[in-house]
Parts: sequence; C-alpha cells; structure tokens
Amino acid sequence: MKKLNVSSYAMRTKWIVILLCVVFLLVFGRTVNSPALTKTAIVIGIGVDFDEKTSEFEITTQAVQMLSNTSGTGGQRYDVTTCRGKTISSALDDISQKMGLIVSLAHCEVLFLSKSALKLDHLQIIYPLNTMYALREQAIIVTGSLSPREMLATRIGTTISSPYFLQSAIVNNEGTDGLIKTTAKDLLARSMSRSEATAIPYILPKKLEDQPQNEQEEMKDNYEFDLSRVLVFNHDSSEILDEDLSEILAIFLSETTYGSLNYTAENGSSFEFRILDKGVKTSANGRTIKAEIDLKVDLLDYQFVQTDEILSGATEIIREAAKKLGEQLTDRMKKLHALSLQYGIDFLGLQAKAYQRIGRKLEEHCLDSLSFSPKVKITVKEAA
Amino acid sequence: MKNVKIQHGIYKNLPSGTIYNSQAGFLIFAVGVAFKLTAAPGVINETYGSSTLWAFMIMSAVEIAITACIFAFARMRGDDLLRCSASKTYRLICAAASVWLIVKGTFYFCYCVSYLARELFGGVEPSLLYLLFLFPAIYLGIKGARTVARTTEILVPIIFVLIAFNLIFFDTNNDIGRNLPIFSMDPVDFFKNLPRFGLWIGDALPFAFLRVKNKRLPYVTGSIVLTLATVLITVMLGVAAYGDSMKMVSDLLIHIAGFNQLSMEIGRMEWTNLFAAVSVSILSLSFIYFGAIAACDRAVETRVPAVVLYPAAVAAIIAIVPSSQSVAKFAVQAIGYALTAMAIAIPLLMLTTALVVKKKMPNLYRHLDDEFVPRELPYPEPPASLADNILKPFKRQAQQEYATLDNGSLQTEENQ
Repeated sequence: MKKLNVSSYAMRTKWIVILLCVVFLLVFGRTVNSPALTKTAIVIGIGVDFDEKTSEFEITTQAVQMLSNTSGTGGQRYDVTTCRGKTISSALDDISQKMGLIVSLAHCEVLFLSKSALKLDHLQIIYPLNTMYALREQAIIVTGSLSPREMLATRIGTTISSPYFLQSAIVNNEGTDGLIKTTAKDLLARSMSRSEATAIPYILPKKLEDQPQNEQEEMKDNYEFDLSRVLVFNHDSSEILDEDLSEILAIFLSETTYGSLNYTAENGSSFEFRILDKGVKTSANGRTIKAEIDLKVDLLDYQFVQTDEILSGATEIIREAAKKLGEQLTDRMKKLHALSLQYGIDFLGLQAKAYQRIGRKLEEHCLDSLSFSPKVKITVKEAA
Repeated sequence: MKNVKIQHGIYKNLPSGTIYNSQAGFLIFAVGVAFKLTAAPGVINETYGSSTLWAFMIMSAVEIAITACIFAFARMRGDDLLRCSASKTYRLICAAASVWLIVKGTFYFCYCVSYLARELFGGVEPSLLYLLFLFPAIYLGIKGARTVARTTEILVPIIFVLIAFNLIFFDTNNDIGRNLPIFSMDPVDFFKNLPRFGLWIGDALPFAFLRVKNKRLPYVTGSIVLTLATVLITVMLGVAAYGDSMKMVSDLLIHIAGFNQLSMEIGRMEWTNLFAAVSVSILSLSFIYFGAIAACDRAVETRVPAVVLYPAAVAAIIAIVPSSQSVAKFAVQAIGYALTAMAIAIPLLMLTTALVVKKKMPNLYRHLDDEFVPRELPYPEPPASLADNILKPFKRQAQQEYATLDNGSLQTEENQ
C-alpha cells in the first residue's frame, strides 16, 4: 500500500497525538462550561405542577446546601425554590437564576407530580428532565394530597427533608410496607403501552401529634407521610385506592416487595407474616389473562390465638391462616379488576398483556372484553 | 526489521496489511457493539416498537451473511488476486466501497456526536465534540488496520468486562413479554421499513482489504457469536425495561448501565459504559476510515482522495449543517435504502468477481505468494544480428547457402 507523504516521525510517534489532546484539553478545558460543585445546586427532589388555566408549569426544587463554619463542624440546609414557566426548562432556568447556581438533577431521586401534570404527555415531562438536567430514569414518581410545592416544603419529623425521607423509604426499601415503587422509566413504559395506565404512591401528609424537641425548644410544624395509598391513573382520569387494595397492587406491580401482611380471622386471632420473596407470573390465553402470585412468607407475630403451644410455620393453624390470607388476597385482586373496569383505568396492565398474545389485531381500549383470573398462593417458610 | 517468532508460528511483526484472527475477533466485537448498541436501538424502536428485537434479529442474519461473504473473500486472498489480475471491475467496486464507507463513516460520526452531546457534554459547543472524535479516528485510520487492531486488542477485553458486569447486575422492573408481538405492524410494512436502517449493517467490509492470519482458536466465529449474543441480549433487556418508550434512549449501551444494582451503593454507573461507548465508537470510526482509504487505494492507486474526503465531509457538516441530529435523521430516510443496497451488493460483487477471476486464472491464483522472477526462456535468444537481414524462419535454409561468420551471422552478398 502506498504511504502518505507524512513525515515518518509524525507517523510513528504517539506523542504527537497525546500532545495534541493535552493542548486541546488545556485550551478548551478552561472555556468549556463545566460547573464546579460549589456553583451547582444539588437538587434532591423536584416537583412538577401544571396550571390548567394559564397553561403554565410550576416547578419546585429542593436543593441541599452544605454549610461549614469556623469551628469545622458542618451542617445541611434545604432550600425550596419555585418558579413558573411555559415549559419545564424555562421554569428551571428561572430557578437557576434565583438561586445563583446551576441546577443539576443528577442526584435527584424523587419527582413529585401533581394530578394535573399527570394528565399531560408523560414523555414530554420526563424527556427534558432526563436529557437536559440528568434526572435518573430510576428516580421515583410520587403524588399526594398537597401540591408538589407544599409537599417539598413539608418538614418531616425524622429527616427534615421530604425527598430525603422518600428516598430512604422507597428507593432504599426501608419500611416499605406494601409501598409501590414506580420509576420515571416505569411510568413511561406503562403509559406508552397498550394499557396506558399505571400506579404511583399517593402521599397523605399528617401533622405530628407530638412534635419532636431539641435541647432548646419544641420543633414546630413537623409532619409524617402516610404512604399506604396508591393513585391509579391514565391520561383521562385518576382514582385513589385504599390501603388493602394498594398493598396487593404493590405486590402485583412492583419488582420487589418488602414489608408484612396481616390476616385477622373471624374468631379475632391475628397473624402477621413477613414477605420473604415473591413470584408474579402473568400469562394471556387469548382474551383471558391469568395472574399467579406466589408469596413466600415467614411468621412474624400472632395474637389472640387460643393455644398453649408455640406456633411456627409448620403448625397447622399457621398453614390454615396463610391459606386463608391467600384467598383474601385473591379476592382483593378480583376487586381490583372490578374497580379497573369501573374506572376505565387499566392499571393491572391487562390490555398490554393481551396485546403481547393477540398482536396488532387487538383493538384499542378493549378492557371490557378481557377476563381476568388471579390466584394468590402463600407458602410459609422459615427466614434465615 | 527482525521478525521475532513468539510461539506456534506466531510472529511479532506481521507483513503489512495482515492481522491475526484474534485481532479480527476483537475488531468485530468493537465494531458490532458500536454500530448495533449505541444509537441504533432507540432509532429502530421509534419505528418498530415491540418488534425491535425481531428487527434486530433479521438485521443480524443479514449481517452474518454479509460478514461471511467478506471473510470468504479475505480468506481466499481475493484482494491480492484481483489486484494482481488488474481487474477493472474490482477497481469500480472498490471506488463504490470507498464512497460508501466515507458516507457511512460521516453519518455514524454524526450519531456519535449526537449521543455524546446528550449524554456527556451538555452545553458544550458541538464542534469541540467533532474534534474530540476526529483526531484519534483520523490518526488511527491513517496509521492502518494493524494499529487499530492492536489498540482494539488492548481495549476490548476491558470493554467486554464492563458490558458483562453491567448486564450481570442489571436490575430493574422489566417484562420480557414487551418484546411481543413479533409484528407490531403489518408484515409488509415491517419488511419495507427495514432497509431504511442500512447505516447499521455491513460494518465488516474493511476486512476485505486485510489478510487474516490464523491462530489456533476460531476467534472470528467465536467473536461473531459473542457480539450477536451481547447485542441481542442487551436489546431484549432494553425493550423489556423500556417498552415502547425506548425511543427516548439515545444510547442504549450507556442507559443500560444505569440499571446496575450496585448503583444504589456506589452511585451512578453510566460512566462505565460511557467509556465503552466512546472507545468502541472511535475504534469503529477509524476502522471504517481505514477501509475507505484502502478501497480508494485499490480503485485509483492513491490513498489521498479518501484521506482528505472523510475529514472534509465532517468539516463540511460542522460548517453547513446546523445540528448533527439532522444528519442522523437524514441517514434513516430514503438514503438508508441505498446504504443497505450497497452494504449487501459490495461484498457479493467482490466475492463473485474473485471467484470468476480465480476460475479464469487458476495459475495466477496458485502462484499468488510467489516472488516475481523473470521466466527463463527454453531457447536462448541468438546473439544480436550483425545485420545479415535474414528472418529467423529462413535462417536454416540460408545457413546452407552462406557461410557462417564467427559472430554467428551469415556472410551474405550484402555483408561481403
């Protein structure tokens, strides 16, 4: 092969290329807009609200600021900032301006959406946040009885910051008793499927009856979040499910489930089972969708049981209670299906499942024509 | 240069234009991952939805057929044969191949810049990203396939470990059933749209201009299987995780790393596959560039047009086109059909031409490796005539009539 007329030194040495790269980085590294950490607002929670009258977005961010004083001890401050704009980006730019810092969502794990925002195109909400502001696709989506602004400003007794509390509760699976975990990616995947519906945690803030105290005084206006409810929705409507139904829906939809299940018999004896593992198998046979939920549980506690013996997973009473609990949960699944038909919201994802089986010939919005057959099986095991 | 024999007939320094099959295997993995796993899944998902995996499978089958043609051509030393035979057809094919590789390289360049602009350098001037990619790609491309192959040999094992690590620890809410139904659209439309994505097939063409020296293990076959498995598994998981929303994913390879379950403990893991994506993209661009240069050399016997044209095309895009994304969009419109046609036709034509020439000139093919030695004639030429003006066929008759002089010529009347 004929060689180019380039000097052999330039052709052989790697140093010339390395030198060029170093020069490139030195020259452009200073001019490129790469913000330092001190110039960045580390947002840990963001809220998106939509005003239907003015067609404006109200964006609220909660940013954490690291404080340090002369004694060397540091602290944290949580700043809540709100701005409005015709687009999400314009509101976020205004927040940047207000704070004098560049907004980065790279560490944001919680996205509050109002009910009005959920009616909009979900892709158009998530896409700019993900691509332009580095919001993680694993960030969790929540909604609640208050507006996102109020939610973010709520002071939580244990952790002060509400996004930080939710991060601990949902992302780190701590104390998630039947709590549903829907990420930004899951929201898009489900809302763009044939079912066009999904479910997210619905938060009910309650003022603490006994406010926490520090050395000087009582700390006022602290709240606690009740995370036991779920909001099911599609683009047209939304409904809130009660605790029991939310619990089984979380087991059905979430990837992993933690927490415990309670069964109270007719004679008043009460049993608490801890969920160890679960398997959810959904299959479609034509227009019939079958769901089999296999739960592995461990006996956690029992009360009001008329017996002298120490009960364990091997005892007949416990096995019977687990069986009854399985039947109870099956009934709740059936109730969920009935509500899904009543509301016209396919939050169980039945149309998506039928579409996978039947294919493109399946007509759209055919929830009424699909039958659902759930079964919950509970096996009592011993935890390690 | 002293050629040191390492072991099993493997030499430290190979002849120019020759690479080991292990290096070819690493190159196949780098090029396959770069072209099939970065921008392609998101773009294809936009059209195909749940059929994305199946579209990828069909494209992979076509790719295997094309790669088989290319390696059959390379193994039979088709390039050497056609160059020796001075085939004009081969020159024309090489000219077309050079143009096609330049166009493909330029389009792919725009895809790389487009996803990097979104994934890594938000707010950075795009022309800087062009330079970031252009320098190493051009340097490696001009240096040749062996330099690209050696660099690949170092980087690909690391990249493979990173990708495997992210796939092993992949953990997110997903439903494998989202890969169904196979035909999310009418089968006629399904097959009609498929050739639009021709930018992502035929990546192995530069191997046609290389000799592949075998080591013991079947690296090339193994690498093709491994690359396809990696691509198909990743796409399957991508669709299972995202469903129809995968169209918003500008680079699946980077996004899939975000679902590494260790990211809960040690922070965001996208950077691992970001490193992999940038590395394989640069290696693939330089390999394509090398292919364009080699094809140009065979077509017009000079490398200069291809060496200049490729950076010039990129420079023109920086100057003329407002954004790389518009070029990326353009690549999957009508021009995609032309790219697919070329990707299939060029290797087929190369192989057919080589087979025809091999049949026509079996001796030439048999002696491809022989050194050129002027043939020794069976009858040595007579000494230079001293102008006896007698033609050779009549010499014997004339020798009977005339006397022969000491120098071999005849004493004719004229000589007297």
